[in-house]
Amino acid sequence: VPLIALTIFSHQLYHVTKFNLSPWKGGGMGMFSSIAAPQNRFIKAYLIFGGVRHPVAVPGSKEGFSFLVEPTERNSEKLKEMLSRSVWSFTALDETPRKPILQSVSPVALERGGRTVIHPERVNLELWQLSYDPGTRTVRTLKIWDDTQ
Amino acid sequence: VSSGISLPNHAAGFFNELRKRAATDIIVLLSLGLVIFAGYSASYFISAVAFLVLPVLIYRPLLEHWLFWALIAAASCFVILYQWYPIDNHKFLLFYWTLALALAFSLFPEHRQAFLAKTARFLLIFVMAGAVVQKTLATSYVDASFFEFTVLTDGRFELFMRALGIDRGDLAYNRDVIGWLPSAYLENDASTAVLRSSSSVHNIAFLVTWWDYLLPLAIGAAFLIGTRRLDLLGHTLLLVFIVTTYLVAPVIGFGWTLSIFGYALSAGRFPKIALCYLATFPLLTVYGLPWWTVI
Repeated sequence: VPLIALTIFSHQLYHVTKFNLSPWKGGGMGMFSSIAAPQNRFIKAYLIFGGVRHPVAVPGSKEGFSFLVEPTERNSEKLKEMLSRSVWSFTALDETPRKPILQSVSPVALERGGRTVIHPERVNLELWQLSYDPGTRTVRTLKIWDDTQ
Repeated sequence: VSSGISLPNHAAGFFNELRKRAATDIIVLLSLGLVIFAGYSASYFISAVAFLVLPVLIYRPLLEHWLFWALIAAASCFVILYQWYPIDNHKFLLFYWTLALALAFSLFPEHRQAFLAKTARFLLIFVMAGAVVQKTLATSYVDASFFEFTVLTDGRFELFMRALGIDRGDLAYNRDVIGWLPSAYLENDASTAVLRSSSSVHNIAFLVTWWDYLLPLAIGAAFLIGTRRLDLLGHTLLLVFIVTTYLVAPVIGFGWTLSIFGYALSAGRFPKIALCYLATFPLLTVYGLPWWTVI
């Protein structure tokens, strides 16, 4: 038992320092030690088509959560593959003056018609994390992964 | 139809039974409770546990067979490997403990309690030292910024903060802001927000930070040295840790796990302390009630 527990703990500690694994996950004892909990991280995903970069909301998925917890090359590729496979379309413009947003579309909504389906040429991912400055009580967003660089 | 036994007599019978039972007997029952009520939420784990536990309800000796616990440990291991990222850190302890039970019941009966006590000691040191190591390495812990952020934005701390006089509206505003930041990039790229707080919050966060750092450090050190006097101190501090920590942050399954380890370690040497650990089970259950919905 000690051998297994210490092996998993060392593995987790290595991944926390090397790959930005959230200390809240992966078998260590880092709960309540860091702001880097999955709920304080978020993914910015961009679909690129026609030379333009469009921000999209990432649908809840195992791939998305894995990338959120540990932003490795492998988890990033899996999420990109999932996003490329999804069907995307612009939401209809409503009365408020805002730009149309790309959303993943369910097969049922697609059957209703009236939507232009977008086929992304490429997907860009960024992983951001909240940080807190107690002096000014300010929460900032901090980029911890960017595959465009 | 009355059984003819009054309620006070049932209560007396319950405590009498508790005194008569062997420590390993109580450890397996508590561990079974942990598996059933605070195990993994994966449907295949719940099905596996139901399949294994139902025969035990009819034929109790199965509970003290190594294969029963080996199968529970195997199911735990499968969940951990299959859901590596979603599983919370403390849930790994359930796998280690069920594996320890499987190993204990493969030994002769006279060696089981000592083996479980030794494993419980290791796991308590592991949990406490591991927490101290990771808190020391984290950039946002020692300066208290982690806890200041957490008590201002985490809904699990709301009742505690309101009890300390922090405005409910401010806490709700902070949660809204934190919820909005991740999706803001879709329409405009906002990257900062100022939390609503009061001057006392920093002091509260500072106290919670060092309470949650020094207490695990002292518990781990006391159990690591392991003299009788230091063990007694370690148990006292562990009970204080369980009773205070999970009142504020009700992660009940983790609290029960620590109580089982504490019971397994103390049952042979400190019977009164062991009873205190048993008392934490109903106490933590009360902590876990959804108080914030009625207050």
